[in-house]
Amino acid sequence: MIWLTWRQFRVQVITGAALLVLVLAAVLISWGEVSGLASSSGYAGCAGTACAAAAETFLDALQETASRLVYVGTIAALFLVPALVGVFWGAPTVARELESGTYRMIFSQSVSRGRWLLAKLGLGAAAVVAGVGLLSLLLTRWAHLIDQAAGNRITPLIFPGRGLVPVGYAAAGFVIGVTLGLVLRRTVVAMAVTLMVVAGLQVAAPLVVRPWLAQPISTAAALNVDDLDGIGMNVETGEMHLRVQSSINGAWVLQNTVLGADGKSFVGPADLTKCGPRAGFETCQEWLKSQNLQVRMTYVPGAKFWTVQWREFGLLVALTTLLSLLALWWIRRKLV
Amino acid sequence: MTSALRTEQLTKRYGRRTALDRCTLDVPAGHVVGLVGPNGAGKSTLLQLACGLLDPTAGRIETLGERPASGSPRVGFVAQDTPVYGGLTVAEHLRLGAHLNPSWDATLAERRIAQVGLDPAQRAGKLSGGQRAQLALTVAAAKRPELLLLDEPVAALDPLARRTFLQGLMELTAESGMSVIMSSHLVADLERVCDHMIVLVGSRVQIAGDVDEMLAGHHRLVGPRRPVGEGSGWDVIEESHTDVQSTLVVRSTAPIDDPSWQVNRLDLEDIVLAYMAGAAGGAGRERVLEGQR
Amino acid sequence: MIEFHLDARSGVAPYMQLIQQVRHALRLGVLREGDKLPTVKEVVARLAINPNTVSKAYRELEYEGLVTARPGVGTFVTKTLGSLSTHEPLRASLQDWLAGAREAGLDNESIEALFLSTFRSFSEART
Repeated sequence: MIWLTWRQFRVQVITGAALLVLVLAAVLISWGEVSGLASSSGYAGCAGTACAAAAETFLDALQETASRLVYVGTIAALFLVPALVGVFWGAPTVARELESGTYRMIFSQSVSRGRWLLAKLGLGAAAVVAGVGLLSLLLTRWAHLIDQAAGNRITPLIFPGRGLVPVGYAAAGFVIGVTLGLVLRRTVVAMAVTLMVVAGLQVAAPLVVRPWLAQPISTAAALNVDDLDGIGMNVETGEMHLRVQSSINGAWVLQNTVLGADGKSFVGPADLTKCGPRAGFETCQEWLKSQNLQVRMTYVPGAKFWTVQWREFGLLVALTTLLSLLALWWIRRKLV
Repeated sequence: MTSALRTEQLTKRYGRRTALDRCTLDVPAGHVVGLVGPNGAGKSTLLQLACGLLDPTAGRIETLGERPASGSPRVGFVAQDTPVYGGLTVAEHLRLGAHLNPSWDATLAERRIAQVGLDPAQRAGKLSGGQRAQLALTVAAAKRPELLLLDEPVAALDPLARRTFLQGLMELTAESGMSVIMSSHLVADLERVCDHMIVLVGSRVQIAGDVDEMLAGHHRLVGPRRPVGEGSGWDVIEESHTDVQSTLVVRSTAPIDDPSWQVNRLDLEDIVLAYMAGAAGGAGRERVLEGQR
Repeated sequence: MIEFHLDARSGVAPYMQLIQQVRHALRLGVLREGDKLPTVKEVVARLAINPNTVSKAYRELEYEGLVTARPGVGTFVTKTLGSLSTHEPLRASLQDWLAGAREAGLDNESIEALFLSTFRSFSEART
């Protein structure tokens, strides 16, 4: 059973492994550059308040390098991997057998349907976990200093490309592909639906699932007018929008709004004699101070990174297991 | 001796469509059984139920005294259009069989591949229809099943490949003594190879039994026109009348001694066709009658 | 060793055709006592027919005492059939009967039909 699964799967595994080797090579080659820049910019081993400036220098120095390409490329790659694995490894695994009728030959050998599917699921998932796990492990270490300097590893852009979660997404993508292939019975249809489902999962995760898993903290504090990032206003009606910069380093800010004295989102109207084209910026600041504005901030602190990683990984493992059980049940009971 | 295949009121529905309707059968082991019927009569359904690929909607089915389950080492199955893995070579198919079947007979498999002239290094996707059928038969037979089910194995083959395939199948049957049930929509394919026959028309079993008994028990009667009476000691399978003459196909175990009938022998194809025409329904026959008047 | 062949259009059951071919070979002297018949597997592989058909024919021949099966070795001829010369007196009386039929005004087809129907009911009564 394992031999057959391997024999049918080997082209995909070899293709995947070749791509993985390319990416790993790029990561390893640029390793020296990243650590070189980290020490030359004084970021590596910095202490205290000097760190902020050193981090700035370090990130600026990275901008023009090949490592920057690796950084962006691997983020994109890890976003694509779950869908690619689901579409090209998962979906055809069973659907192709159903389409070509070869399942009838296999089911008439002395091996049960459940074992057949289990071998396919097990071997496929093992390959996915091993490959993506290795990539994520190396990448997380490689990007350790960059992530620290940028303080953004918990933000939606970086989070799914670090730590455990990439493994979970890739395994889920594979099993989603297999299950859809089994249920839909058509390779091309299964591939298309897998793509949509995996992409939907990746979109839904930061919008719905992760905030729920992370249990963000909400704070409300008086607005410090100096923190204002920008003021937008309509000179006719006096309607205004205030943007506040997030002042929490390393956190994922979900919500950041200025509230008026009534506790509702502040939209003006501004006193056009004090704020506006004819009044000075100083007077406007003074006026804003008098409005008793508050800043409501909802955020996940950077320190929660591993907690959220584990929770999301656990959820993905549960999803993968559940779908595998569904597929095993389906092949025994529902498959004609 | 256990039956190769036994069904009781076996019914299979796909949604609203009934593929098999209350079929009751008992096929003894040790025979080569032909399953004939027009396309869509339920032959594939019956075979797939027998090998456990499908589950019945109602009724019971047993193969070799057991409830069918896919993955049974005792039952072999060659599906319609003999699916094989296009990307795997002939040798890899044998390896696959060896890996998936504890009872695998490697000597038999290799001997047969050599005998039918297949190149072990050839990819199965490049084989001709006849070669592919031989490969599928080899994989199914080397498993050493007690019952081998074949779904339209020769339908897509040219006459020579058909002959070669049936020769191979009969040789395997002769040396292993396994029971065989094979379906076809052409009686001619089955006439020589089968000693037992099941006629399936419109999802129902019309007749099942020993071929020699079927040949001996069916007659074509030609005589002056008369109404066909009930209880004349025979069953009328098919009838047609002109204004002066009646032609009947009847089943009767006793000899027909009414001298006003001219009694003719029927071959297997005649008998099967009579059942197919008979099952096509009275309406069709009425129309023929009108046309003749 | 003899080689069997089948005529699909003869209307004679395949096993009967095999029996007839063995008898014929015995009569012509093609097969002699001690000769081996092809194995069931060989016949089946050549003619693509049901093994039970061949076994049935061989059983019938054995029952008639013409051959004997030695398990694991093969089926051997044990008896030769009388030569064609024994047919001569029978042929003469049949010719007489045919002459009588012609005198009675029967044409060829009627003679054939009469012969076949009589022959059939005769053999059915005997078996």
